[in-house]
Amino acid sequence: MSRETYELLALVARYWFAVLALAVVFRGWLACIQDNRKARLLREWEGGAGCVGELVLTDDGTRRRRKKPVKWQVPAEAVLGSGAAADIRLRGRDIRKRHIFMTYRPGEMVLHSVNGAPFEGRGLPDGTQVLRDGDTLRVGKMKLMMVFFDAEDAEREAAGKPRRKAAQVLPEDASDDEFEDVWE
Amino acid sequence: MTKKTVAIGTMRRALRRADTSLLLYAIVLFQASAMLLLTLRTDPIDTQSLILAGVMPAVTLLCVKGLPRIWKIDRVILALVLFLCSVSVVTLTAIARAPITPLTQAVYIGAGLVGMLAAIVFIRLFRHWNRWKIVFMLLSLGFIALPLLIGETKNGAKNWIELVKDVVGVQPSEFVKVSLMVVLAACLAERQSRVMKALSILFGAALCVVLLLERDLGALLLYFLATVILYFIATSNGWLSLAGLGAGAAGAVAAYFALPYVKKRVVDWRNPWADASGGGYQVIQSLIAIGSGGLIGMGLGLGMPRMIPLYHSDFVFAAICEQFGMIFALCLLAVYVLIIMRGVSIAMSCRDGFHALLSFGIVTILGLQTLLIVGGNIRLIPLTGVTLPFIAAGGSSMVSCLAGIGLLLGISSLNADRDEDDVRRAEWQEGERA
Amino acid sequence: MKELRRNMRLIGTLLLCLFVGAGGWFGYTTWTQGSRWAMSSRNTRLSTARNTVVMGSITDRDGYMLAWTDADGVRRYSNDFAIRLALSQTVGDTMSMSGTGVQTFFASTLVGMSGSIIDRTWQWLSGETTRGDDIQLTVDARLSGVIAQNFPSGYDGAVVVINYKTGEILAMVSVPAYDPANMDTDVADTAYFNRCLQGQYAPGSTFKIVTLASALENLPGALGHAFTCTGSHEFGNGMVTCLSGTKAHGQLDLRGAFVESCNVAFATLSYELGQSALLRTAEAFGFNDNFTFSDVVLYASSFPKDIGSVSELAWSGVGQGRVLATPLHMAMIAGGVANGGVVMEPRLIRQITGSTGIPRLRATPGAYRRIMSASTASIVGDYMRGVVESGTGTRARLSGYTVCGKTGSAEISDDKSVETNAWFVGYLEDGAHPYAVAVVLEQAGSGGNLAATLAAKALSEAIELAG
Repeated sequence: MSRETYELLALVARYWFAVLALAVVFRGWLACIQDNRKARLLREWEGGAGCVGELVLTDDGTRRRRKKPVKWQVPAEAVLGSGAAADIRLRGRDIRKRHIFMTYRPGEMVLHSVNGAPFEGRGLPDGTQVLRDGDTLRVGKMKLMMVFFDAEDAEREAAGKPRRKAAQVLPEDASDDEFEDVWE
Repeated sequence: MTKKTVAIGTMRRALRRADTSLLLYAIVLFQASAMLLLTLRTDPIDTQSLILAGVMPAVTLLCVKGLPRIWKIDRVILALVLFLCSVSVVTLTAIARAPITPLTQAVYIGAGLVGMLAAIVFIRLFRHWNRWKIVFMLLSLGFIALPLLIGETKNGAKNWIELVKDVVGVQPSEFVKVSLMVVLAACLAERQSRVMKALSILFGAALCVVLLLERDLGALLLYFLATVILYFIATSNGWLSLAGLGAGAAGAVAAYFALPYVKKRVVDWRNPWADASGGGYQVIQSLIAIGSGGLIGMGLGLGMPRMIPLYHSDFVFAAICEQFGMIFALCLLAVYVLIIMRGVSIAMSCRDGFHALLSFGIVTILGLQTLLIVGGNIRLIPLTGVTLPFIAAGGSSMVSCLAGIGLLLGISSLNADRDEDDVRRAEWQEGERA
Repeated sequence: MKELRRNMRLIGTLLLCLFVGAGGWFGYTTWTQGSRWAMSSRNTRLSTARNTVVMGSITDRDGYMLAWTDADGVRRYSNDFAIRLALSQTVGDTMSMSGTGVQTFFASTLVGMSGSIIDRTWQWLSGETTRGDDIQLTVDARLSGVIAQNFPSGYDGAVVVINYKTGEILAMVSVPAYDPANMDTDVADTAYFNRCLQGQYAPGSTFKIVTLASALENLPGALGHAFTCTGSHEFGNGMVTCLSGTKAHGQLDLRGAFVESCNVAFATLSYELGQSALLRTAEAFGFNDNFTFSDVVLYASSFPKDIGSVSELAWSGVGQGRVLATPLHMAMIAGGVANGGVVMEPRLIRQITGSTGIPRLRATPGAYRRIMSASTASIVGDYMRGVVESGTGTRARLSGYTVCGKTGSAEISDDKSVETNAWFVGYLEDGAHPYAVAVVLEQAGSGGNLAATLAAKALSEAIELAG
């Protein structure tokens, strides 16, 4: 192939490559936006994507009777406190902005105190405070009961057995229109 | 944002990721057409490029269609990363007679993909980061200090180890980049322990000191910024982080006055035309190349990219601008932005601190590295000795970046698994209630 | 977790902003300065292209060939010696000696580096060797040649003629010049230098146009201002003199002061204006602006920003001291007065054509900026008419036409034996022939003498030749 012919081809190809690059960027950006919407949805879901259990209020120290139980979703890692940035927000005079830092371990939530804030859960022999399924957490004037979603799975993990199998890969011909009005 | 109670069915459908076929086909089309065009350049036809014209699209299709069947990894990031890797091979082929042949680069990419797979498997199985962090710390320190003992000097920095003389070499600072993130994420995951916080800072500082001794200032800058950023994210301690940045800035100013070649770099950046044959030569040739490229470039295989010094590693961005043009180069930047955006999205969807910090850390390092080198190419900031991730020629850079992406993909698959579990459990509870 | 997410969102946004900023800066600088980088003499792509590509030809506004490559690959220039000399710096040479010449500044266009598909396809199909693009300039070759021939011998200097309605440059003659067809002969040191674009001279009394405009716009009652000139006046700890103190103008109104070019009067005006007002007007006129015109590289004119003493302010008001201006800029200013206060962007390129003959770029007039209000412009124009009618510029008169202008005799040394630079800046008040001219003759004495004569000749030839 002569040099001139190649040059001509290469000059025409410039436009082609620019178009391809723009197509890649545009399609990638669209995919990003769509997936972001869905991810946000999953994160904010009350059904609890990422939550390992719930804390149910059994006694708020005021003897008020409630019709419906008050619950908080507990993610795998959470900060409990009265501040706005807390994952589990409790209002109470004795509760600090960031009161307890809890992390999930198979079978239990490990509780760490933030700057010495007082609380009481299940004390282990080595001094750490944990909450197992059904335990009560006393903080401030409140009493909260820990309920794990996957109590069975948690026992299996603690025993070193594999989790139950996850569902298979889904087909990808879903339309994204139904997410238009759900996302705000 | 107020919480809305949404139907479980919608949640089930939210698990489905966006369709990536068009993206994939555009990328494969680019790879095939670019390599085919380059085969026609020489007479007789360049068989190496012809082989690559077939192999690259095949590998891309295999990875993007096949891997998600094994784990639920993020396809878009994988596709975009493979796109960038192919741009690297295409550029090397277009710049004939580069120090690193396209075949070698393809081999590096292959090795990198293997590393990526290993990283995915690793992060999926890695549970007890608490126990392993000290081990990793010591290994990292050892590895990065190795060039001081048995290493060679390259471009003024003693950061290179020759495994096989003149054939295979390794740059530890690239690999330690990734383990730095692992260690920092592990230390800062608890976020409450003061000991751990201090330890993470000390570790970062120790690495920086080693890099200073090795005179690898570009990597030093990268490590420093990444450590400060990760620390801030984990502890929300804005004041301390700003103080850290201030200390870094003071260190930079001290380096300016103490180290003569740092001063030279800055002076050449301010006015490269003053020392046009010496220090300013690189930047001037880079700018000339970018200017010659114009909007759509001079054409693949045309132009004279070899006029730019270090056109295959430090200035590959300028070479791409010359061949492909400004539009293409801006699209490349946009691709990096997309990868970072998706990485941040993955980090936000993580369940626990370790994975969140690790994924964000990897994304930060990639982003900062890209900013530093592109900024140096276009004379926005002085030149630093870092390489453009995925596009610059070089084995260590490619393998370590792909390994980092592997960690990111592995974390995304963990997230997807857990999301799947949650939706399944909610459906089961609905079923129970009905 | 929420905290983590909040922080990550923060840093992520920061990172994104940095990327967008870098990308935007990249796009902007490459778009505006990319062609200038590519034109650098260090761009070996250009020199290699010159070896493989036939450089396009350069013609004047009427199609007269100024430079072309013949069948043997040799670069040829016009047969007319006067035209070759007159346009030497404008057209440039192939060795980049003239940095502002078209063959250097537009080298990438001439070697076809923009690579238009249509042209390349045409060449491929017809089997021609690859050619660059042809450029048609706005200059008139015959006019330039005649001006060069009428240049008073023994003096260096520059003559610029522009069309003030469109901004087109009709003639750019810089003396001494060189012969691009015979580059081996010895030439004067500054022959490759284009004085019209690169020569920064003290404008002398021609700067009074700026001072006058500033006074009209900033001093209420300036029109009725009366002056008494005794030949010299003290300002601060310096003296301002009219013609070295030999000429006392007596009682003058504002018009008279301008027409007679009384230094004392204008030094008084600049004293009354003050440094900031005068600087503001000068910068509105384009002084201190780093011009980035697409067609020409015009060196900046300057007006000092840090005048420390009253005497320096007084002398700056009459165009001495650290005030510098290029001939093209002064011609543009004169054109601005004629054009109701709007200066048009200078154009050197009329058209760029590819090998298919289809023009790829046709120049259209564009305004640079408005330097003064229309009413100020008409007053200044009236005074400039007076200068030629009855004042210092009477040698610039043309029968049948109204010439307006301003003379200048710029001192360049304290040594009284060194003659002043002679300036004449002016325009034709005629809708059919909207020409402005700037003439500077180095060390030629008073502006009203040789400079005004040359200006009149240039304008009359322009009317005749450029039509």
